[in-house]
Amino acid sequence: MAEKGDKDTKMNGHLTAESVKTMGESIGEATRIMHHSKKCKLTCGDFDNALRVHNVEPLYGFHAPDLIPFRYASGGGRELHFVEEKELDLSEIINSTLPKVPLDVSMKGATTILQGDHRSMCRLRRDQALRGPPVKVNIVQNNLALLIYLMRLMKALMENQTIYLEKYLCMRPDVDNHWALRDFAARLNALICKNFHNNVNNIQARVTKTFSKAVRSEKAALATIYGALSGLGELGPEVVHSFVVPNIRMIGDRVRQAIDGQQLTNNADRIAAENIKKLAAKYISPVLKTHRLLTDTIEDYTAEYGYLGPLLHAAVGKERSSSTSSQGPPHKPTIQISQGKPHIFLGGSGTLSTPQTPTSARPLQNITFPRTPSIPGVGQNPNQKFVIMQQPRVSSVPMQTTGVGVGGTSIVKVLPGMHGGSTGNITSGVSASTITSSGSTGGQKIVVMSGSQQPMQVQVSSGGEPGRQVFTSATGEQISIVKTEPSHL
Amino acid sequence: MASLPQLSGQNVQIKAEGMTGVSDKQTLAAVLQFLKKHNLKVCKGFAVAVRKSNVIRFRDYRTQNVLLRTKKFFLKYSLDQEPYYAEDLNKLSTVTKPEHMKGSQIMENFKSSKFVLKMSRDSYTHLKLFDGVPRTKHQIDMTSGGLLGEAARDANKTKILHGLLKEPDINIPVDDDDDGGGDGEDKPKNDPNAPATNRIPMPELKDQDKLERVNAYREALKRVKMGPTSLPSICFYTFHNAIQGITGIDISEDSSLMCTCFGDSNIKIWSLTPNKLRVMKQMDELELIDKDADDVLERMMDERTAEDCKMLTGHSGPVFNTSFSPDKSSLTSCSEDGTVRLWSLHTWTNLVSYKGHNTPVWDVKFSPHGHYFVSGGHDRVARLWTTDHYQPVRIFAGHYADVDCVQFHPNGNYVATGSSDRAVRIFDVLNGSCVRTLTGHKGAIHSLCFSPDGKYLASTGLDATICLWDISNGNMLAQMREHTNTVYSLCFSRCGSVLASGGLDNTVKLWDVTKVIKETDKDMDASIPSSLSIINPYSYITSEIQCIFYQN
Repeated sequence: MAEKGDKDTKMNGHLTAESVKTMGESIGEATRIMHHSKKCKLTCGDFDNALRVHNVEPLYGFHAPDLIPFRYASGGGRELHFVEEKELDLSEIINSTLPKVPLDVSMKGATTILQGDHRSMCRLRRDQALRGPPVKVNIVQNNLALLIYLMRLMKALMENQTIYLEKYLCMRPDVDNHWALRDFAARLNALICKNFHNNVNNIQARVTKTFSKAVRSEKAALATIYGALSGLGELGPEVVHSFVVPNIRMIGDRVRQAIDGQQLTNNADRIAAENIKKLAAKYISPVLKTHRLLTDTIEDYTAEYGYLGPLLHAAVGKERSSSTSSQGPPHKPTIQISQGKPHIFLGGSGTLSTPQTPTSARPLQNITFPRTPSIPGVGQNPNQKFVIMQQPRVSSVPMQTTGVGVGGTSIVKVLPGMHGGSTGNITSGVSASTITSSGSTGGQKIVVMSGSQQPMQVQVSSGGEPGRQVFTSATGEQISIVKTEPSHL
Repeated sequence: MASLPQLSGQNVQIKAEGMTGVSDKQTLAAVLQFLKKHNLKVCKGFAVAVRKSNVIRFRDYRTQNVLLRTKKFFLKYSLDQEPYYAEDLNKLSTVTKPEHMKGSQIMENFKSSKFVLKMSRDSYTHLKLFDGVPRTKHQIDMTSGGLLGEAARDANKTKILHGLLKEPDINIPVDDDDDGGGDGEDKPKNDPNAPATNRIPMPELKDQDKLERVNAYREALKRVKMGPTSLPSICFYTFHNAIQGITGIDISEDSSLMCTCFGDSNIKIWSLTPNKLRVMKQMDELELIDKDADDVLERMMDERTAEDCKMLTGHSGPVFNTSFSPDKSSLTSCSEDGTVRLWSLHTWTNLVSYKGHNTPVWDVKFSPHGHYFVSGGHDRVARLWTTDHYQPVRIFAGHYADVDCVQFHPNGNYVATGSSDRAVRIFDVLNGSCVRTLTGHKGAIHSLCFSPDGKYLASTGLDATICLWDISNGNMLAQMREHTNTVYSLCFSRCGSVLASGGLDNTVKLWDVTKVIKETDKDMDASIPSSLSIINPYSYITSEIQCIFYQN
């Protein structure tokens, strides 16, 4: 018996050595195939191919999912690791629906531009006609006539591609009339941002960052600041508020230096400074109008904004008076509820207790509507937001949804609220700058949001687009209404 | 001291045959003790000697068949080895029985060949040896690493004609706008290093080729010189849903076509331009075409078959690499099934299946002048084929392990091969002899690239190090160590001033080659150059980077 055991051990030894060697060689071969396949992971396929190299028929039908769940078992002083194989019902396999056909291989191109520390990713078509260099060359050569054509070309090409303008916009000041070019470029840039901004390329954020860097820069020429201000201004009041307003004082200092400063200033700088002043009045005052109180005096403005304070005060005042007389310019970044016009609200006896002055710097006093249980949807769930849109010239629309006779109001969309709460009142903001009109002129939309425990402020940033309005609530939720009727009075 | 081995010869070439018997073991132990006494930690050369002796041990024990003692020996000395020999040692560790020695590739190599090792200055002094060129440890580290040590001293003496071939006379119409800038480039016509145009028989240029040359020349005039101040833009191509795995990518010389090979034996060809890929018409339809028409080439193509992507099926194993012919009329591919296939890009069919390797073929490359192509594979040789013969016209033998990559010299007279034996060799196509052996890599070599002027060779691979070699003397000019994982792709810019590299670490790095060459000319101590810039691409396979042509 002992002899037999001895033999077994010997045989085991032989077998072990042999299998270790074969395994070692095969794994080495498989690793080599893996390297040549430019992979980091050894697969069963690689091992099969390695066996083929050694003239061994591979074991077919073995697949390795990413994770092989080895199970461990021990008993009688032995340890064993094994792969658990589940019993499969054959009929189940036969009767199951066929898996989806995998998608075919496809290819996409993307270009990365390397220029010092400037890096950007944008997707370009391969056969793209316009590349950066011509623009750059013409900027360097101050060939503005050609440059404006190139800009136009770029605009024409913009239909189906993304162009990254950042590094071409901040150029050196010249004596020629390049202001129009800068304005055009800024508008173009805003258009690019609007059309092509998405979460992947994040164009707007990057462009804004570059512009604000230029605005803040101590060294930047005034013309550059003008360009950057113009670019930021075109991007909308939100951008102006967050990136320009904090820097007004600094810009003012630069302007003052250029206009009546002690330092030697050249003519170009003076012109640039004057242009900046015009630009500031154009872009900043509408923003300030909504964020400053009516009672703020010139001194308050000067204290906060420095040199440009008086100018802005005057501009804001002018803006306010003009908006009072003409119902405001079409693109107001604020919600306005005009005096003396019918208000739209929900609930039978709800009234607006505080008449809102259109020039109010805090436009949204919370408007309270007593909730009536007759409103479908709202009655069951107090935490709901819904958007009410007024149909044009539809006076026969059932009125039961609203307590007062406002024509053609219907619920467009009902969104469940995010917050729990049992407040009986729907706190809402009524929005849209031209809500002032009566129901019959039509085309109005009202957003009513309810359910938040805190009163909601709804802000409209229409941004001048007729097709789209974005409402931002105080809780940061965003509701956008894409479809709207023409809303001009 | 007396027991020091009496090693002779300029390179310490230890002959396995010369060191048998038990006394060797004692000698080895004595030498080790001696070196320890002298505190020679930098005795690199000796570690290799120990390693070599490991092998000798195995041979000794072949007769004695003492398994345990072999293992003990292995464990005792394997720790002294340089880390890059770990792979070899792992292979050796599976060899524990005398019968195994017969099949083992590595053992056969050691039995039949010498292990070449060059020692450091200190080792020489202490071992009382003299060698012509004493070197520092750093320098030795730079050039060591081959499976069989370094290149022999006289391996790189042969003269290489690394100049470019004289351009054939094509009447290139010079535009009136050019102020003779192009003429200046034509002047150095008699390069003393250039081989004669008929040294290797080259295919005759067709009209179509001439036309393309003219176009290429025109584009070259518009090219902007690349350097640290003007870096190229990179175009990335991303492949979606490639579940079978992309094993290789090739882009045609004019970057109009891209070829991808897949793990499922298929090859796909993509058009990178708006021009679609079309199949040539059938024979009976072709006969109807007016052969004197100007657009006869256009008429030959069948419009109904226009597609953005064509698939070639024929291999029966993963396709590892492909190569376009310079005229874009054909494509070669190599696969795990041991064949090299030639495909027509007019009919999109397989023309020839070249059988000869019979084991996996790792790489294939077309000659820059067409007609010839070279393949290298698992059988440790590279084969030179022509498109009109089904048998190889040259077999380049010399490597001790798989030939992992091959590359043609720009003048078509030489072929460079990189191997798993961690050496790069350059073979002469004329007589098939090995004219350069370049050692210094510490891992298998996966990519080779000649500079456009033919003077330099860049190589890289599993060790993530890029080596730049001067072909004229076989010296290493620089080692560039910035990558963190295997580098699979290398490409010089058309002007030769920037080298791009990319691999598994998901980065493309651009190297200022002119700076590297300038620096290393002054100082032979190959310093590590700084990379110009690093970017993170999305895809892990980086395709070759072509020069950008600016349109003025």
